[in-house]
Amino acid sequence: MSALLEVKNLKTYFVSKKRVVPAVDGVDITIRKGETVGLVGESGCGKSMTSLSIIGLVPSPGGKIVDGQILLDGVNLVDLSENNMCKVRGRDIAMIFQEPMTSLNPVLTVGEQIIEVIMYHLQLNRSDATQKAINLLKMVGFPRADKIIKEYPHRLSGGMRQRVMIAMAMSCNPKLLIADEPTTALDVTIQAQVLELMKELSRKFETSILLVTHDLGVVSELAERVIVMYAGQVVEEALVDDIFDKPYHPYTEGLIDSVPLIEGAITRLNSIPGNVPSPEEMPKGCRFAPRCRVAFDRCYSEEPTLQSISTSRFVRCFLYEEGEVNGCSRL
Amino acid sequence: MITYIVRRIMMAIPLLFGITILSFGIIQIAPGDPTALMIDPMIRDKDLVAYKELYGLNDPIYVQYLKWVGNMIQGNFGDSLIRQGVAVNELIMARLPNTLLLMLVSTILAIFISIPIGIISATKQNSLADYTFTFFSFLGIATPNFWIGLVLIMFLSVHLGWFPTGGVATLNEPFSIWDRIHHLILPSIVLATADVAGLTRYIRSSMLDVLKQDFIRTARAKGFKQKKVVYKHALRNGLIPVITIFGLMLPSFIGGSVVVEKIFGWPGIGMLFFDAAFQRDYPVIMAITVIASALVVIGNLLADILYAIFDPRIEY
Repeated sequence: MSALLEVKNLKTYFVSKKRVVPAVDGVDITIRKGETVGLVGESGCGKSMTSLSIIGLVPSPGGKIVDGQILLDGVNLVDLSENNMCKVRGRDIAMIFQEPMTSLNPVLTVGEQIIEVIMYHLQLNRSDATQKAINLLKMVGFPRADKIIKEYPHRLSGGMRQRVMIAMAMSCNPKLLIADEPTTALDVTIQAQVLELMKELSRKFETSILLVTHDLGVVSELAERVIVMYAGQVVEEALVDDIFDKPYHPYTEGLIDSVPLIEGAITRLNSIPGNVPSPEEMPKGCRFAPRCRVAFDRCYSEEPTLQSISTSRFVRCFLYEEGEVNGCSRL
Repeated sequence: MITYIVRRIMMAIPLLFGITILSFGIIQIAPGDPTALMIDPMIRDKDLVAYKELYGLNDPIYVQYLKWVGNMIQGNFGDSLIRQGVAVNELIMARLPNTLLLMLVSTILAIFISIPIGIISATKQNSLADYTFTFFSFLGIATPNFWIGLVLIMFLSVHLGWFPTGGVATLNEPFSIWDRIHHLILPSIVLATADVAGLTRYIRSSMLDVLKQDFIRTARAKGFKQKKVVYKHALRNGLIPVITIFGLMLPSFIGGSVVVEKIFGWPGIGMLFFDAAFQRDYPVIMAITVIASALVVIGNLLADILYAIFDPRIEY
């Protein structure tokens, strides 16, 4: 399988008069056709900003991609003009957001909001676009789609709205779907439905998905590969089975440990002490060192690089230098 | 919707009565009465009493009020005390069209100028254009209408002679649309100025608020260009809060027109009110008060109806 999306050394900074805040600091991501990749990390680690950079919606003024390439089918999106980028957005790359309650326009009908994308990108006339919108809504599980099309968003529940968002995102058969915390605002049963739907659609249309989330459960459900981000950098990348089996980076380990287990003895939930450092006060050396259980002297003075452990596995930690896989001792 | 409108109108009736009681009382408190202006200073006391008797001014206030209300309900606002023998209804009907025309034109002017300015200020926040519009908005809010009116008359009418200095039409000339428009331009600009200034600020802040919403990000993620995002997705949402302001603005046109009509010699309700207030012409003052209060009620009702049209989340 060839690479659909290649993000190389992406740097998205927020520049104000007083300071420069590196929100994304040299991130590499590769997504193959039809593949689902999870992008995981705490709040403030730069995962949302990475996804907004890919679709070209970094908040402006202030935010800016200062370096790196975003190649979609070999075309560098960073170099595209705003006009050309508008043709990519919604057609080649679609995005769904965390808050289904506020992500739909309250004064337009659900149908109108789907139809307008279809008419805009696929140049269909209104009646064909309406028919397509009805089919899309049926596909995401609205049996009475011809009625739903005339409803306003406030009459739908959160789960229904998120399914409308998915229908809207899938309307032009995108190559890449970016899902930014798609299930975070939904309750658990609805979460499962939405995830199932996304899985089914990605298989059916061979859509690649970049799943941005802090929820490892969602990742294990949907993704094939996981990229863990910390403080604007990738700290670990692995196949989803491998990472749950044996996380390499102490941060990944901490993340997995902090997920409550249903089976087994009830113990105190583990957490990683401290917070993500704010981008303007990055610690010297390894960015995770101040919170790391196994940090040693070198971690505070030198910055580790992303090491390749195998073809599918990368980690940014001194414990694994020169292919030496001792692993940090899991306590 | 219909039942809602009917209910609102029914609720407005006691409110209107309250307003008439208050204003009737307040005029009586003001010193002097209509007789003071029209009567020969050498008049004998006996004749003065007879005169007042004739107009019912010697009755207790509540009797005067009840008589007035009785007539008002039947649509009769009585006769003017100053212009003797002329019915108030007649006076008002002769001038109402002039005022309504001025109000309509300046409202349309205000809306069509302030919406684009508000949008530009919001989409290009903190730009030179935004700062310029902001500066002139505050200037417009701070400058009194009559001053702008006088300055415009002085420069554009007296010095440059581009516009007539006042009136609705050139005297002793046959009716022509162009002539009417020519006379309308200055007073409607002056009347619209303060509203443009205020509305621009409201539209700007409301649009800024909407442009930060999640659904705007969704619209951008769909690949729409800035224009479509602003006009299709943001504008309608941004105008919803402005509707309230608009409803409140409507009656203020009568108030605003008092000064503007006086300056431009515009024979409308405002000028009539101005003169009546100085002459203590009670029936005229009361009639205009009732009309103005009715406008307040209508303005609010209109705003509520517009709400329901603009915002599908609101149902009555």
